[in-house]
Amino acid sequence: MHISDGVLPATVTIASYAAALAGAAWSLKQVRNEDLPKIAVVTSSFFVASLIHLPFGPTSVHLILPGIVGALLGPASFISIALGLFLQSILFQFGGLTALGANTLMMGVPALFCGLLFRGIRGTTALRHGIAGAICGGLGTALAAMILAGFLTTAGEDFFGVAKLALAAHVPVFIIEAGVSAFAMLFLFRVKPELLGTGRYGG
Amino acid sequence: MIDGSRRIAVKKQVTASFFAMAAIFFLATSPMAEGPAGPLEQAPEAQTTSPGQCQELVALLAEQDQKNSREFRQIKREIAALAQEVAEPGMREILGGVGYIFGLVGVAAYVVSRNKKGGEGGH
Repeated sequence: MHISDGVLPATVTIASYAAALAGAAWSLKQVRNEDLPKIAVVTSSFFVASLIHLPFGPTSVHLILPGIVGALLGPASFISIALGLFLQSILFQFGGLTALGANTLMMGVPALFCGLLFRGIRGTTALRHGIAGAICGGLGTALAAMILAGFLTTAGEDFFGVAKLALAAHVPVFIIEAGVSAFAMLFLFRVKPELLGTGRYGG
Repeated sequence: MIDGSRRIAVKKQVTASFFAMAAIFFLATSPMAEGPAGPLEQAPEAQTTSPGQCQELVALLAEQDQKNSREFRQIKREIAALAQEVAEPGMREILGGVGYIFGLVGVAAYVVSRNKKGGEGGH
């Protein structure tokens, strides 16, 4: 789920860059010093996750992990995703450099939203953490697909057609993502609960 | 990375193409060689031999063509596979990216720790 170079019109490219930069600056301000190592680890996971292809029926899908990034980093997830996408685009040619702003918004906004949601619905039990992880994982990917459809609309596509296509193509991703996020949250809750839900929004 | 059978096939093809070339050369040169000779005497003989020769040649060429196109298809497939392999990021890019991330965050941590030292007078 990456937008390539030259797909979006120039105004949208510039506007998305501006929005992404503002988001990154805001996100950078929320970073607490003691969270830096965690950010490094989560950013690396996000960076590598899209290379791990999981076989699903006749095709294979790769993880995007906005849910897990949001749940672990909270407001710092936006800067983490911006960094991960930047390195992906220069090292792997995943998505173009000019579309970096749009791509960052596409994955960063769902991550921020998932972080907020996770903080709201995670309870105090392992089961609730697992359920919250599943919801965030699935919803984060679905949101990213919706934003992708929104961006492609500005390139002259019909929104509902693209949205339907993007959602249908990513149904296996939602399922796998929800499962992986649920297991990750369950595992982290058991072994290192202090990693979860740190960082405050609007602090 | 040509395995044994394919190498044999290539060798066979080379010999086949050599024969085909020789045949074409013969066909091309023979009228010229016969040209200066008496046309009245040579003409009937050429007419009787050329249809059979031509058919043989056409069959040979068709077979040759088939072989070549099969080989080309194989090579195209190999090129496509190679291109895909090249396009996929390798271990070097992945480790490089992870290194970048840790390095950048490390620099950030360093800056933070320096600021702390300056502000609080030692850490």
